Formats: sequence, structure tokens, C-alpha cells
Amino acid sequence: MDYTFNWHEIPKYFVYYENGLKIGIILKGVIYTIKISIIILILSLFFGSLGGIVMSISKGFLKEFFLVAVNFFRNTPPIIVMFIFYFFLGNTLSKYLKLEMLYSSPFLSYLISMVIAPEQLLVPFISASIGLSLYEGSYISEIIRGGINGVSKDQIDAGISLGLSKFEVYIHIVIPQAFEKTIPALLGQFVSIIKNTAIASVVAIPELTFQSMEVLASSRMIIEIWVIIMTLYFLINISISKMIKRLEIKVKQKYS
Amino acid sequence: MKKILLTFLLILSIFTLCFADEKVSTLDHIIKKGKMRVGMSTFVPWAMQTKSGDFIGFEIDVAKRLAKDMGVAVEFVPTKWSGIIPSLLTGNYDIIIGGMGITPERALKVNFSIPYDYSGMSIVANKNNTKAKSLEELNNPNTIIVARLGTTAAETAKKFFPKAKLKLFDDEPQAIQELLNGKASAFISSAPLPAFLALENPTKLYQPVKGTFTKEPIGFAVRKGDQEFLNFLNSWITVVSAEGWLEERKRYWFESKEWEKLLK
Repeated sequence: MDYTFNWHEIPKYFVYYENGLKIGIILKGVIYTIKISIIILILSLFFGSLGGIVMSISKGFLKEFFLVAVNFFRNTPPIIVMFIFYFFLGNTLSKYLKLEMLYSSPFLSYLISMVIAPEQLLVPFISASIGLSLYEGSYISEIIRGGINGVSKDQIDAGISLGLSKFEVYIHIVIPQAFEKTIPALLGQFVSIIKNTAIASVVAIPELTFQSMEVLASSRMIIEIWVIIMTLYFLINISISKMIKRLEIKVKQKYS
Repeated sequence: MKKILLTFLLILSIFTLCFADEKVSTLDHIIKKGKMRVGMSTFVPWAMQTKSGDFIGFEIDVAKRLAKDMGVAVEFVPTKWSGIIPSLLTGNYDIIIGGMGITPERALKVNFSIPYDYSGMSIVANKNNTKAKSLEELNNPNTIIVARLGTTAAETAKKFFPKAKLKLFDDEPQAIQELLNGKASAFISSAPLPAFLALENPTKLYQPVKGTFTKEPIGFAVRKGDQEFLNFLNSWITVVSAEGWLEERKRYWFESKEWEKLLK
């Protein structure tokens, strides 16, 4: 292939010097990727635990509802979920969320911009996070359900015969064990979350993929940028995987 | 099965409920907020990002001047070109200032201002794949033409080269790379990009037809039914083009390459 490489052009997109050291556009994207991944992890853990617990404990309509919802999200491509939430939920959010009020005080505005996103990005950011969280949450709920079902029935019987109510048995005996056992699997899901945040670029969240595509559009360094994107995702994910491996060993030691 | 259908219907009905809309004048809204949100997409040299993430380009100058004349701040919302109209309709920004060509098809979905600029399609071809010296020669089943998805370039390709194979990409660099790699015969885009490409790669690329072969009016796009905002935009365009400001900016971005140092 006939191609001239311009690797020396790349570093300035990470950091550059102009009246002090400044963060470049790709590094800004990495920060957004980490931010949205953490928010999605928290939200999907919430949705997933709720779904997993409800599906393994309750009966009737509630259980059926969660089963259908989980099946719905697990059988839909994440990009479609993202678009649906962006165009439908985003529209509603921008109408009812009082953005001017949220960003009226300088302190609050600074805080929200730092932790979540600046005003013009808040609605796409929230709708994309919720969309992806429900998608990832549906996988997490299956993991949690597996964890709860994995706690032996004898323990439940033992608890009840000791005079605990069924609710107490679950809260004090089953769920803590289920969570502990599933920690490695849950954190493994974090890798999948980070990979899937690349999809958020289609709704213009300025995360790693989107920012890199912007650089690509202006500079046309097509191969360099793609290699950089790949390397960055790989580095982020491999370091998380390594940490999870260590945790896994600890959990295994406890249960063997 | 019944339950699945019921849940599905429930979800759908929630979504459709979200689409009930009330009409407010965008102009009032912008003045009240003191900020105009502009939808755009990277498109050299209309709108580009520097290494620090600042926007520069012809459309950026136009948007900044428009906001200044309204006495409000400007905020750019970069969006993928294929989603630029849906995002305007859902209210993610107030106006599209992104070199959008006025077409009857688009005008069914959004309202356009009078044109503030004219652009045209231009073509660049790979020397190894074709020897064509006219547009007609490219119109055969062996030609592969690349363009950006959702642009008027894609429409033009369909119209001028109905027999050729058309390959569409979400962003221009991918389309350009396809041409440079020799997997496509020709690339269509708004002038002056194809001419720039031919100059940058004189051994590989050439322009079968010099200059532009279509003429396209470029306008601001706003949500439908907002006559007040449209009137304001039209008056603004009349004033600014009478001043000669638009011409001057156009020369800077399209005829000189002085701005290239801003990207370095």
C-alpha cells in the first residue's frame, strides 16, 4: 500500500506546549471515555443488581417484566439501543430537565461539567449512558442471577430454621455471598463497557473514538489514528483485565 | 409471546409520547439564553478542529459572525453528518451551519434560509484505475465511485453515474483512502477538496473534469415552522453579502491555503 506515515504529527494531539502544557484533543477524548465508562459501570451495576435480584427472588408480573426487558436488550445491537435512547429519551430530557437552572451557579456548573459533561453535552451524555447501562445491565443481571442461584439451597433452609424471615435470609446470607462470588465476572463486564463506549461516538459524545475521528477528518492521517485508537483501547482494557485477574485470585482463595 | 408483545407495545407507546411538541420561536429562545447552539460536522475547509479542539473554518467564521450580530455566544455541537438533521429536529441545537446544500428532499424536513454561499461538486480520480477525460466515460459498471454518506455528493454520484458502483463512507478520510489505495476509481465531494487532493498527490490522482460540475446553493437549516427566525437569517445574509464579508471569508478559506498553518 502506498502511504506516507506522519507519526511525528501525533504527539501534539496528546499534549502540546502553548503558554504552558495543554491537553490535546485525543487525550481529552480518553478522559471522556473513562468518565462515561465509570458512570455506565455504576448505572449498569444498579440496573443489573435490581434485575438479577428481582428475577431470582420474585414471582409473577415483576419477574416477567424484567425477563422480557433483559431479553429485549440482550437481543438488540447496542448501537440501536443507543440511537433509540438518544432520539427519544433525549428529546424528553431536554424538555423537562431545567438545564439553565442546573448550570446557573458557577460552582454547580463547574462541578457538573467536571463530573458529567458541560451543558451542551449533558442530554446526549445522559441518554447515551442510560441506553448503554440498560444494555450492559441486562448482562450483569444474568451474572447476578447466576450468583444468587449458585448459593446452595441448604443455606436458605438453615437460615429459615434458625428463625430468620425469608427477606433476612436473602439480605444477610444469600446476596452478600452472591456478590462476592461474582465480583470478577462483574468487573470483567467493565472491559466490555469500555469497548462499547466507542458506540457513544455516533451520538457525538466527544470520547476517544469521536475525537480521533475528528482529528482524522482534519488531518487525514488515517492509519496512524486508527492504530492510536486501537492501542489506547488495548492499553486501558489490558490494565483493567490484569487488576481483575488479581482480584479473582483473592476471591478464589477465600472460597477454596 | 403475548407478554413479550405487550411489553414491546408499552415501550413503544412511552417513546411516542415523548414526541408531543410545543412551538417556541427559536430566535426568542436563543436571545433569552444568550447562546446559540450550532450543529456542524468536520468538513475541510468548512469546519475543522485544531489540536486543542478549537473550531476553525468558513462555516465557523459565519456562525461566529452571526452570533456576534445577534449579541449572543456561540456553541458548536459537532455531529456525524448522517445524523445532523435528526439531531436538529430533536432539539440538540438551534441551527445547522455546516455547508448544507439546499435540496428539495431536505427542505421537506427542515426550513432553509436563502443561500449565503454557492458550492459545487468536483471530482478526482485515480490514474491507475481510469483514463477518463469526461464524466460520461466514468459512467460504466467497472467504475467504483466513493463519497460521503448523506451528502449531496452521494446524490450527485447517483444522478451522474447511474451505471457505476457507488460506495458510501461515514467520513471523508475513509473515502479518500479508498481512492488512494486504488480500490475506487473516483471520489466526489464539494469543491475545493478534490482539487487539493489532486495537487497533493500528483503522481496518483488527477481531475477528469476541472472545476465544479454542479452548482449548489448553501443555506442555514432550522426547524420547520419558525418564520421569525428565517426572516432574521435572510435579512442577515442580505446585509453580510452586500458588505462583501462573505466573499472575503470565502477567498480566505477556499482560495488561499494560509489557514493550513493553523492546523499544525
